[in-house]
Amino acid sequence: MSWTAVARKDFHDSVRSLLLWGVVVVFVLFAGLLAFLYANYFFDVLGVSDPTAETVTFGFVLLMTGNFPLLQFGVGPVLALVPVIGLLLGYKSIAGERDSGQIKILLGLPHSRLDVVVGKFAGRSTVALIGIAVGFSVAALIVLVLKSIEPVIFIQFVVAVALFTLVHVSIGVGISAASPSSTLSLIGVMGFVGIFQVLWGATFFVLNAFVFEFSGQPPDWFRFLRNLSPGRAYDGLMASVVPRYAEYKSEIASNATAGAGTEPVGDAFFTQDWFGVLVLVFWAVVPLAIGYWRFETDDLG
Amino acid sequence: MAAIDVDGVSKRFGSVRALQDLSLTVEEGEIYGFLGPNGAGKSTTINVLLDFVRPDRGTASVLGMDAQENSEAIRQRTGVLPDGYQVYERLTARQHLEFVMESKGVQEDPHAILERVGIPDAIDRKAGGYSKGMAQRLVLGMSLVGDPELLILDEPTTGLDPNGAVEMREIIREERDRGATVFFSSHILAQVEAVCDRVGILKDGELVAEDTIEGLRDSMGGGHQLTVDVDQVNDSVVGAVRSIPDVTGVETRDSRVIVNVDESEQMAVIDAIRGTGATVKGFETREASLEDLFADITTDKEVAEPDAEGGAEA
Repeated sequence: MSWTAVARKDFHDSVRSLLLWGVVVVFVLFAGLLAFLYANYFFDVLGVSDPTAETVTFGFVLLMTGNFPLLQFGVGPVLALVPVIGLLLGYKSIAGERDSGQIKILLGLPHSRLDVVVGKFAGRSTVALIGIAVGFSVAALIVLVLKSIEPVIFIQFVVAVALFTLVHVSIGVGISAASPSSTLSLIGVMGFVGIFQVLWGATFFVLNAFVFEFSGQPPDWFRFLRNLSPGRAYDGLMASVVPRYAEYKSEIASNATAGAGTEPVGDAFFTQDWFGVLVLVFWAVVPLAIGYWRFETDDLG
Repeated sequence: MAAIDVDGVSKRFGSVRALQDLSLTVEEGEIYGFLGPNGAGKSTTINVLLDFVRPDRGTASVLGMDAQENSEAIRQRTGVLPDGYQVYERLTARQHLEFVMESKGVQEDPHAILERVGIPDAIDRKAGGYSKGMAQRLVLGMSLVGDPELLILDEPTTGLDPNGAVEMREIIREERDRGATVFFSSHILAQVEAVCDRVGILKDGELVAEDTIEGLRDSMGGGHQLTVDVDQVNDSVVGAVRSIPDVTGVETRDSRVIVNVDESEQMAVIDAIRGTGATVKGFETREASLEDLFADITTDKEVAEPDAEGGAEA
């Protein structure tokens, strides 16, 4: 159980660096600013008169996840920011200690390399969770003051954001564990962002446009593959953690003008919420496991 | 039971041969000096003992346990001062020591440890502001936490001033007297000579000598060094000297020929030099220092570079 010592040390180190404070500030600005904009400007777009606290809260949730009327074609704020934060939190965690030689202090003590990987993941996750807790508390306060808020739903939403963040912390720590230097680790996480935040959507969009000519229903294998990215899986996680998310999402979507070119969802297994959760479990576990395996078998010169 | 038992270990990094069929044994309770020039493979050996690096062939056992299979248990009972480490610059000395204590599951007084290694005033200062010597003292202090059975110290005097090196040796002796085994590496013979019970000398990844200091002294041609001043130094002079069976080392510096040879054979050396037509202008003899021995063992030089004297390390 010595990973707890590694985690505590890593967290103490983070508190004394700019890391924790940087993450807190980013989440406060991010969630706080969007909460302010939402309550003051965007809320009217929902076109709900005399809204309940629940409607107000879901409006904010949908804004954050990119399912808000008028804004639904862009990438949701959570999807744009959270993966990058998570990956950046993780990428130096182990490779950075190999660069500096701190790893020799760490592994001169009775810790296994698994302790190091798990401890680093736990330490960095704690930093992420504190940033999220503070940032979204500020956001909740702003929405509460300006409108009203339904705490249970909001907390469910924050839990989903937190889980999504931890998936990316895990990927970042995994890439870091697999990398002999933090330069390589940075290239790794940038590659991940490039592929899954940029290329993934663009590639499938282009294929859909030119190969299937927006026929409305591309083949299953195409839709299956498309749903394997963490970003695509996020909606499934949201719907699984926030019970009435899907309901509100379709309701608000139908209030607004129907989106052009939207495909019917269908009921294939890979469109189910649990499949999204499964995809995220995969992303939380597999890169970290591969990273650990590389770290475990590598020479630390 | 040996504290450290390395058996036939070989390790390559790409095309570089770091260790070649290395075998050595460190007995319980002794101070073992692991000596060799930079790049000889000392740190690689220590990295194998700590399971930072896995050997291509051979096995290593530490405190009777396999270095790869039981690395955590080994490190629980071992204090380590690695080379090429960096301290956690944002944490204080106290926090470093507390981390070590938590990792090893022991409770000690951080102040007493820092007192012992000579930096008690730095206890609540962040290690990022330490000099190299202070960091070295801190990590030495960390290695002492929990009274380990074995201390593995890689170039422990790096960054220490002469006074610090003396204090380091005192601590090493105290630890041995407490019952610990001490394995420490150095490229500086004087550090090892003063404190070690036994010495192993590594060169190009191979152990070229392993003995007590006295044993090493005895093994080198009676332990005497003859310096002959001649009017001309050339290959035939060196060849003539080397052809004498008892000569264990020859090098030249300017107009001098330096020969490691037993006292009784010194006249034979002088005669041989004269035999080549060279004129002997003078000679002197003295007991060889281990420094000479170390240089003999770890360098291949037969005819020394003209500036070898000034350029030689330490």
